[in-house]
Amino acid sequence: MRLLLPIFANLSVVFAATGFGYLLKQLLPRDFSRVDRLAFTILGGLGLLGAILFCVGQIWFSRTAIQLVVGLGCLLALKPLVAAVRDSSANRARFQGPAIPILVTAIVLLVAVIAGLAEITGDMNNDAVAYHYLGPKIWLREGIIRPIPDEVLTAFPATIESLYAALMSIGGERGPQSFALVAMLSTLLMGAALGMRLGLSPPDAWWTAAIISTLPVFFRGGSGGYIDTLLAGFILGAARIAFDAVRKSEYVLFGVFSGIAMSAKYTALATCALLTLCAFFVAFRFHRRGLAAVVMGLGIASAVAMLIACPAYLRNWILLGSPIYPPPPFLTRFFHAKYITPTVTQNLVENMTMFGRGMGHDFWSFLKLPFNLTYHTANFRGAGGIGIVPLALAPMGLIASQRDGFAKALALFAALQMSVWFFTFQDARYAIHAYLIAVVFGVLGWKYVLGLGTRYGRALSALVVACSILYGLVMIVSASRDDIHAALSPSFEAKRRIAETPFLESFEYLNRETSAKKILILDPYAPAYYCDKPYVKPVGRWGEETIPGATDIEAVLAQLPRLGVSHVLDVRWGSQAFRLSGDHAGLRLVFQRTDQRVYAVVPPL
Amino acid sequence: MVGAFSRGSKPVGHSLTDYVGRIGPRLVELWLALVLLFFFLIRIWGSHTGKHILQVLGLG
Repeated sequence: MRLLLPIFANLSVVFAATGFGYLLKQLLPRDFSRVDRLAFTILGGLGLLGAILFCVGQIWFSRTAIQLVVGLGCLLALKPLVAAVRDSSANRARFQGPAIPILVTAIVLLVAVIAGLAEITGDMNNDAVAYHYLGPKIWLREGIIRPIPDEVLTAFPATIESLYAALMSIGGERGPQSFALVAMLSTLLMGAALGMRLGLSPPDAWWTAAIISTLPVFFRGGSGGYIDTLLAGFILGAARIAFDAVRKSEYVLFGVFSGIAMSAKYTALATCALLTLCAFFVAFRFHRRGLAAVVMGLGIASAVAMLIACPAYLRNWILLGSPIYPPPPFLTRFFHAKYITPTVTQNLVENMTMFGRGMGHDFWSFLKLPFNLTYHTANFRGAGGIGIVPLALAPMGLIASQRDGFAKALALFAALQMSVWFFTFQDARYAIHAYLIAVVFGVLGWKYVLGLGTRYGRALSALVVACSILYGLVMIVSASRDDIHAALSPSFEAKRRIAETPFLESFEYLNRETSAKKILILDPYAPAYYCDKPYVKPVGRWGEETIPGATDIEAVLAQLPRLGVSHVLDVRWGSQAFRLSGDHAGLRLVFQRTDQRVYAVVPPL
Repeated sequence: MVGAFSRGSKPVGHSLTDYVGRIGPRLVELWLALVLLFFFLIRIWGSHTGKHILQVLGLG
């Protein structure tokens, strides 16, 4: 049962997403292939489902509300599902494909499925524990989607986190973990669709899928709560439709996918601006369309995108004083952000400076970027690497497709995106869509090299693909080994939970203690995700201050009666001292383990 | 030969395009070989995982 519920939750969400995605059917161009249609339906549906859940969650986010939204999606999915079943039974004998790339893709997806069934563990260095899953867990408990005062990053756009909340509500805490398969599969479909648009045959599209799936950064960005792989799918969808858009409905679809991307992550704001710029360029320069028609089409796309993305930004503006929260320094001139202290801003800026510098921002580093990103991916906040196909074969793909306007627009977009990425925040996960475009060009380049007809060229290009795939497989499987073991062995999972969850004994005590109604967590880095009861954290890990006027421990304790706290969790890291030393009037020590103490609040006589 | 020159064309295989056509595939091969060489040098021999792979293969 511990594994069946998350699987059921994911099936329900995919089914519902198919229903909402089917609403986009009228917008799809008639010449779209089946792969295009499937990719756009699933990805568009996931985005729309997340956006709807986010909007509904602003006023009502109970289990019933989620079930109603997911149920509506499932109802909408019945018609296309029946049609698909009929179609597949008629075409069953037709399915054929190259064995090796299908096997490779299947292995990666199988690893994603099994590893995704493992229980989450880890401290606040794990982004899922710190905010991707913390937000959904608390929203479900509170029955409403609101930024969490002690974790400023929960004010980020939350379309994908809203999906996580639905998965958590239906399938428990393992639900969002096993969403990795859905995120990867839908993005792979879009990658294959993009390849076929550039002239790849179905077997070549399978190779594209195999190479993409074995990029360690692709796997990393789609698993463990990270949202980057799914975001890459939305962005590629926007690019796929934008660079061919002629009819108004196609511009509307471009807007839908741009809006979904912007409602999933702030970085998509710049990405969608670049997409619009490139779409203008391709329509004006290559398709030779009139300026008025192009401007009108892009205007429609922008309006639709803003409409879909605005709930997240409006919510922040209304509740927190700034549409982008935490606000970047340039925005503080125009908006007065509430609740944010200079310490938080400084800590965030320092974090961005420290972790976003990659291998430097100078011109020489820019020239070396393809080399550095290929061979030194660990210097761009890890994520395991991007394989060698992009560096080795994508240049040949560019040569091979130099007469195709769509390919030029795609290459221009990827180049501009990488430039923006280079000069802002160099995190390998934030540019997955650009690597996927490079892989598509890589497969085109592979075909080009084979077409040259030289013996060494054939052998070397095959060796490049083989090394990239094998190395990626080794990296992915070795990184997922513990997760796979934990999913298959309850005893190992229990051992891992104890070893990797900070202060587990205290959280377990508080979760089972019936008198524990509301917990005061004193340490900013104690992972509140593991606390199943309502809690207050006076200071967050970025320096967030959640209790006005309570800047020290005495001031916090003085407010205990007003806060309605029943228990206090005090922990220490290593050789640090506890925050509560000695006896405190009104507090009674009820639980103690190494580096952790729980006090019950004693009501005054 | 006289006939060929009399038509104003250069001897086959000696024009700039022919040279580029012949060098191009060699350049592609050189590029691919370099990418692979750096891959083995940096990602295999130079990394913990790479060393582990080589040990498994009996090459470490």
